[in-house]
Amino acid sequence: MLKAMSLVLICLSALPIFCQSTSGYQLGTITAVAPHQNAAGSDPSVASYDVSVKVGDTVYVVLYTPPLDSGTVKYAAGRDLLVLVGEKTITFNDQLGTSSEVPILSRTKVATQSNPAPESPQQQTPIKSAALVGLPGVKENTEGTLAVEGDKLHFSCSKGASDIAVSVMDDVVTGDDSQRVIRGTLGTISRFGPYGSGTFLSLFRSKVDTLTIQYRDADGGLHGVVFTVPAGMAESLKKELIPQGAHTSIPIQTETGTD
Amino acid sequence: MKHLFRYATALCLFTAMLCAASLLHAQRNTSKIKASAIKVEMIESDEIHLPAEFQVALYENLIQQLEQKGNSWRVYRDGDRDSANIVDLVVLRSTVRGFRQGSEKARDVTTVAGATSITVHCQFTDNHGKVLLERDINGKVRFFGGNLKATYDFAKKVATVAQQNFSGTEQAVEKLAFQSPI
Repeated sequence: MLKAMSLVLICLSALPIFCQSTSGYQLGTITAVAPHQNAAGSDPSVASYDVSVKVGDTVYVVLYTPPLDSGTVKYAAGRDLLVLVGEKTITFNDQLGTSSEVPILSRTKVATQSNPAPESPQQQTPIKSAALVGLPGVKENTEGTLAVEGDKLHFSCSKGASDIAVSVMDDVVTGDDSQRVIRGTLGTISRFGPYGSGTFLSLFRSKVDTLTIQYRDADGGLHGVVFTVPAGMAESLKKELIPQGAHTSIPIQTETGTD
Repeated sequence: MKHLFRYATALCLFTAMLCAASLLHAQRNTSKIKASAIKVEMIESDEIHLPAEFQVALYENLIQQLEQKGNSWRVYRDGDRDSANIVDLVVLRSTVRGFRQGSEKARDVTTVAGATSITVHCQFTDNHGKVLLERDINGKVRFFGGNLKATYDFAKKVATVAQQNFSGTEQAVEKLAFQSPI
């Protein structure tokens, strides 16, 4: 008897699960309302609206025709409502509880926190770099940062900045090299260290990539620039520049190092 | 009387030296080729594989050194449309004849090995392609510095050769003075 009672109680406790709505209604927000452009041949006296409703990470544009042509829908942006998203239609309940079904004109995925948009090349983080030769307005062997910003390659250092438009790049070539870890004035002094310590310090070297760019100015004059970037970064920069309109004499797949 | 003769001889010698010096100076000036502008063409390396960074560094250093040393002519880049109308334009064509890429590490450690050297055939021609001067000039880095320093050495030598053989016109000097921001 006790066992039977337990079984009945368990079944009763599970009952609310089946009572819950399985209709699939979701919370949507009206983000925009615009008058619908009537197609040729349609009745111009009937006012219709393109209503944008955001449900989750998708914005649906639906065609809504108010039954009484009250025009209040024009001011509905920002309002929340429960919607049932179908394959071609969206069903919603108005304030009086009347259910209406409207056709979906388009659907667009938007970026959300859970579904971030793919990072564009414009937002690339700057790479530590050195402009070896040829960059206008920048002294030779100047250290700074290099980044692809929009449609230009931007080099900035403590004493200024310089840009090269990607569209005028005739040739982008990468190579590799190595350099002393201790460079600059300290590096020069360290060469004269006693008991061969300068020579010993020369053995500590870091690998670098070279990025060589040839481009033309407004008068058609040919310019060349050589940058060094950390090992492995030149190729990724080149891969960003080529789709944006830069040219190369060596395709990315077959390119080899030059050291 | 004896002193007068001595002074007269000294004066004659001094006058003769002055005349000779001015004549030599005039001769040196007339031997230079007049050029109001030099157009530098991109470095060619058909027979020898030259890495792109060396090719660009040679070209850019060449332009920089010619601008620095030759203050009486204007330097144009390869493809510059403004150079088309210049009558006494000199075109510099450079072809790589030899290249040996050394190693900075080997230079630092051994001080005798790892030198980088580039030999370039430089041809100065006029607007119509007539050769005015041609030389084989090399650039080297033996001890300190990266491999690209050889391109700087080469550019300095070419600029010196150009300075010794070409002189800018007064018109070019005026033009340069007008363009100067100072």
